Amino acid sequence: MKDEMTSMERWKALLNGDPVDRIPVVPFASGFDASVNGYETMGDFFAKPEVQVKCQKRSREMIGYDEPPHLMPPGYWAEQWGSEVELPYRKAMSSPSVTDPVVKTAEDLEELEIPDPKETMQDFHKMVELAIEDDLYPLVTIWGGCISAVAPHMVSIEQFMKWLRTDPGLCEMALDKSAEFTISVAEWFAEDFGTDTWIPWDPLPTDANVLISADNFGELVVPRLKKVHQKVLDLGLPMWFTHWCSDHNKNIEAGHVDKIPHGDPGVIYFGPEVDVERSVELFGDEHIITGNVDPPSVQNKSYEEVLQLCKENIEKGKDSPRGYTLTCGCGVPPRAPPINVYAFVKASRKYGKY
Amino acid sequence: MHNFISFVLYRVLYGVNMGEEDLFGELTDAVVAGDKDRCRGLAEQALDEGVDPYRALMEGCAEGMNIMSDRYDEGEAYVPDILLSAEALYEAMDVLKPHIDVEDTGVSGKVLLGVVEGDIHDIGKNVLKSIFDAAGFDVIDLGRDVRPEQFQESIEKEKPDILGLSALMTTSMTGMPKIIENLQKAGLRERVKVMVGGAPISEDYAEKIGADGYAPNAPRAKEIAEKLLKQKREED
Repeated sequence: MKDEMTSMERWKALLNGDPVDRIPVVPFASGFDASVNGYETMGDFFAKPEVQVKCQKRSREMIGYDEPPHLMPPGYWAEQWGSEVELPYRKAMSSPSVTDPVVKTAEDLEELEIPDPKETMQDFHKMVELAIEDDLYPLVTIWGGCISAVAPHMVSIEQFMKWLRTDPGLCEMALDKSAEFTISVAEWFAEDFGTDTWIPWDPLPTDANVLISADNFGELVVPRLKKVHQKVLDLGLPMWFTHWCSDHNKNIEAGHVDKIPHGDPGVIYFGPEVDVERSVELFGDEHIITGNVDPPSVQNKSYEEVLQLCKENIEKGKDSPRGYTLTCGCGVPPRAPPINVYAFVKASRKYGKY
Repeated sequence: MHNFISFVLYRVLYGVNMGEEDLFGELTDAVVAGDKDRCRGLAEQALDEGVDPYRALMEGCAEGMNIMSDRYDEGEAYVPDILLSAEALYEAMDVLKPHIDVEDTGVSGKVLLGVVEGDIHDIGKNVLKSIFDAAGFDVIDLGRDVRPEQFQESIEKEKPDILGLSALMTTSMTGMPKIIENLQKAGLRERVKVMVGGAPISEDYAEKIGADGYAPNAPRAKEIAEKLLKQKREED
């Protein structure tokens, strides 16, 4: 049962396409990391760069998974635009919430200026720097050109959804502004940190087909997301780690996911709505596939049940041609029992050896 | 807007009074199209022509929401469509509701809705509200990020038949059993049927926390609410 590689060796080998001793475990556990570090709320985790990096590093060491810190700026890509954000200093909260998006009207959007990253993202820059100085090879949120980075961060979800039907030009404008902003952040980070010390990642929950049609996604989001991804890859970053959060089955069927450059390989991370077997079949030849044990089970079921779910997930993904990681579908619930997160590591050691 | 202008021009030019059934059909179409101006115009016309406002609402507007609800359930309509239809529905309701005699409505169910504390994801709840409104429920919406005490206070004050709890996050879903527990402690649990929903919620979880009903989506929630209401009436 003794590991032959360290967590960092395993993570880097996976990304480089080198052999790994066993399946890497990348549960996406940020809020959980704060919790097991003794923080009663997630407030400091999201507010303070050093806390966000420290918590993820220590819990990785404690539980034994291979996930690098994945970093989210304190302003949640929303304060930077002038929106109001509540940080999760209440126990019931698990992440920052946009309480008052800056854009209410078409005029607000037209007048909205693209923020200067060097003025609005210094704390994020510091966070990334801390992780890189510690050789943690972090996943860094680079978020733009998609609805998830715009609604509710710039404009409320409801308003954006209505504009999709009444004035799609405004949606395009919002998406373009977010694309431009995030590209400028990536350029700044590439310049200051190089391109071989971090990996960009982006989550796409509000772009899912539970909310919008594949046609809308194809017409409005694909061109902009494609542009953001390609520009960032052109900077020299090796790949994208993209979380296709929630149900993207219709976007898959329409061929939209294929059109987004993820790198060669990139990492494609679907939620439990897309079975791992299907992910491997559709994208395994080109990309690293992540597993997706469903989060409510990790929070509510027993250690034995979670271990079994991990085993089943591993059996479906283990032989994916470009690699596979065992992951929790949409991230580990912050209040999940730590033993259930350890079940991921245990399952990898028990059923995931190569 | 274009449809509304055409409609007004048609009426001005030809002065035609539609039959009730035609008017209801027009209202249905206007809700389906999410055309709020046309909905308002038709609702005003219904009042002008002495059409029973409750029938205009239920046989016209609500039918439109039913169609949209089915389309959403079948993956033929999406949230933007539902939101615009809901907006059109509310436009007509604003006109018609003040003229509806509560006793004529046959509405027997009061629903209290809210997204539990720590969760600001309220799109699902808003869609649900519009479907419940269209179905003739008396809906009280507590909004999002609602503290357990607020639910309790509102149940004491409003005496709803059904409490609908929504959560989209694994953290906030843990607030649901606390709310149910609080109701039990306060002796309010027997007074209200509790139904739960949201992305991380399952039928098993609903059963585990002692909820009376679970719906995987807003259209199904209407059926569950109607079933729970019937049960409650039988128990009462």
